[in-house]
Amino acid sequence: MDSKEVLLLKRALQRQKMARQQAEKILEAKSKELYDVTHHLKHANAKLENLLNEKTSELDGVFINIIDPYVVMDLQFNVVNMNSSAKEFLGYDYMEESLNLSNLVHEDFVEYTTESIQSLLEVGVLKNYRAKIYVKDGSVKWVQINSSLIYNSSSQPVAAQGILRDITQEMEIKQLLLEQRSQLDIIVQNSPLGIVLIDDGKIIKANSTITQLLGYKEVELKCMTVKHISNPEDEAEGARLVKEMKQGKLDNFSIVNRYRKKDGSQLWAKTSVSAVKNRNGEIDYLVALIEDITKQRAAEDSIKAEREKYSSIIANMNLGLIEVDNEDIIQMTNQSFCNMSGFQQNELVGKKASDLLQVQNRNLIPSKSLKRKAGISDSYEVAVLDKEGAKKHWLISGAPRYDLDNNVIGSIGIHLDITNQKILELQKERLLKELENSNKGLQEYAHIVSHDLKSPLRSISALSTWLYEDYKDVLDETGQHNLHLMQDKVASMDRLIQGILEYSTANNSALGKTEVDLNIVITTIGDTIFIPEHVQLVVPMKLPTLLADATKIQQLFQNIIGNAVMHIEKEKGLVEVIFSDSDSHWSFTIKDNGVGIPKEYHEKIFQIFQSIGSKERSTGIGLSIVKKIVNRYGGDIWVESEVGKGTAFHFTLLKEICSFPL
Amino acid sequence: MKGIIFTEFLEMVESKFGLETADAIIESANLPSQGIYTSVGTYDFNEMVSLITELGTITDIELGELIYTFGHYLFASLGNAHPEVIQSYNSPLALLYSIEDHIHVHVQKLYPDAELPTFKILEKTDTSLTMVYCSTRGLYRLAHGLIEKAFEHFNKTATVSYELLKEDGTEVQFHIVQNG
Repeated sequence: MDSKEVLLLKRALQRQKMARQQAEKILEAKSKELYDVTHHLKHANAKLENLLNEKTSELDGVFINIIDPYVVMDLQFNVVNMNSSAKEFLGYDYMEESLNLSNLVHEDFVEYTTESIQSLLEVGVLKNYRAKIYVKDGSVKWVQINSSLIYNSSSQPVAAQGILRDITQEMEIKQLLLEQRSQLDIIVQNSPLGIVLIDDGKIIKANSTITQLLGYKEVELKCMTVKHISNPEDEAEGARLVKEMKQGKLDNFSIVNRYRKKDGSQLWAKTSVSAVKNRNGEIDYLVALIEDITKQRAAEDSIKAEREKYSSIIANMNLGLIEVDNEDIIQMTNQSFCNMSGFQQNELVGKKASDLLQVQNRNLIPSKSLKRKAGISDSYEVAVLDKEGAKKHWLISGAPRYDLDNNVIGSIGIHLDITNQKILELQKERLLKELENSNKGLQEYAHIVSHDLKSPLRSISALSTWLYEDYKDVLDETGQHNLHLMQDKVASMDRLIQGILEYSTANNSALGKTEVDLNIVITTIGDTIFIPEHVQLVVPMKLPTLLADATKIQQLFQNIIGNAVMHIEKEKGLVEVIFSDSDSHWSFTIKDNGVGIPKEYHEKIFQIFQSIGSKERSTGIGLSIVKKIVNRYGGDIWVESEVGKGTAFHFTLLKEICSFPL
Repeated sequence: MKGIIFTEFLEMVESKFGLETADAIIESANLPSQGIYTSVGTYDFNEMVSLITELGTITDIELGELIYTFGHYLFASLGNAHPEVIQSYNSPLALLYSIEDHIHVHVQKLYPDAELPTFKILEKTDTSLTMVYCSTRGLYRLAHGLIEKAFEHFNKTATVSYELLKEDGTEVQFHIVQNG
């Protein structure tokens, strides 16, 4: 190794040694520095620990003395510390008995509590946990808890602390408010009026009635202003009133206005708006109550139309109409009345009716006025002089007029001009009277004639009998025969006269009303009249009892039955009396198996003096009397017959006339 | 400047050019520290400038090239001294991307007085990285060498190009594209 190399190595070695010493020096300095830092840290640590202890006890004091209940629990909900307020509130003392808070939670809040604890563990704090709990005496309390986690030195949660607040009363008040509010809501929602709350033109609340009226949903309405739903024509008036309200001139107002519905149609409504003011007297809201008057308006319109219709009818009807007040002053007349009376309307209205219209019976109108005041309506006729002095007859239907309170304020009269009818009626009455007189004369005449005719007849009959008795030996056969013929003719004439007499009374004499048992009547007839031996009179069913004139009823049945039994040529004759009952009539049929009546006589036989047969006893009066009696009892008579087979007489009697009242 | 840079630099000179060259540059550089360096100490940067300048004179090699070579050498040395730092990465780009936020933070823990360059990332993809080197020392060629060795460590290669944003080399934009 040459010296140059040795020198080089020596220098290098020297540098390495120096470097080592330098490094050692640096390290020593670093050690010293570390030692100082450690020492300083220890000191600081001790100071901090003291500070922590002080603060902890200070905090303990704060929590123990805190007014609200304060509880510390471990993560299994066991209470590890609580202040006196908590002991008092919960009724438990964790020093005396172990207390697990999870046991206190009301069953309704278990799930909520689990969620809340979960969130506490995740976030580290829990604010405004609200639940019901059981305290020791068993009562239920509402509590609000604000809670946070407590961590150990390695940041692991070990416990939780919480401050409780008893909010039982608060919740009760809240519940009460809620109930009252829901009651109020029910009232508002069920109100038949639409109710809207308005703030500065904006709709902020609307009940269901208004949503139905307008067709908008509440959410839609809440995005709208009053302007959206108002009819532009009514808006100015509404705005003016609201302005006055804001100026304090009005507290509320009502208007009739229109709203626009969602479907574009229009709603007529009466709107009442009131201001809701705050303590400073400023308007907070406007409350609008909206009443649907669409129907009311429609009704008013229809009343108007009706009124117009009736006015037009009154004006144009052919009946005169006049209204007077209680003093008989004319209030109104129609054109027809003017025409009837001959006065102009302006001549009538405002005048006293009795001064203008000259009623012939002076006392009639005042007595009718008294009736009107008593509230009675009636109809009557008057004879009156019109403006020209011509006599007119009016049929007046009068009725009282009432005001809205039902007081009589006058009367209303409807007049029908019956002058022409009246003249006719008077003519008719006169004619009837004349007719009656002439009828009476005729009847008396018939009576007298028949009576006066009968007495010479009787004399002729007596004289012819005497002539026969005295000269029967002298007279030859022809003479005797002629005398018999004479007597027969006299008897026949007598019957004729008797028939005329009966016919005249059948028409006119008053009808008696006694009980008439038809069964007895038929029996009597069977005994009275001559019935040939080969003929039988049969009544197959029981007949009714009538309330009628006994003589007339006997005459009726006797005439028909008498005809029937006489005209039977068959070996065995049969006459039946059949009866049936309809609602309004008794119906009878008298049926025989006799010779029958040819068709052309079916009408004729009921006319007077019409007889078909050549039998001497037939006068041709009997059936005309029958028809008269049936007619007087409101019935009909007709015949069915075939020659050679028989005849059936049908007739009816109106029950109304000849029955007992039910 | 940290002592480890000096000790490692002299180690490289010694191994590449021999003890004689190492001794020569120390003797002729006229250093305040007299060339006595320990990795835990801190020394004036101008001593490094003197040492490199002397080495350039003796070896007649361009200074930038010398610094670049030192970068190659330094990566292995630092890797040996702190293997856990490199082991925590599985790609060279990830390592480069984390210089500022991770590696330099660890350096600062051990050497609170270290004056470190900054690397500002402009763009990063899975296979490329653009960043700006920024240091009053202007040792961007050292960074160049270190970057290349980082790829080599992960058995990868990369094309590293750079552009001087300032002429004195205190701000240099690197563009690194991993090959393959």
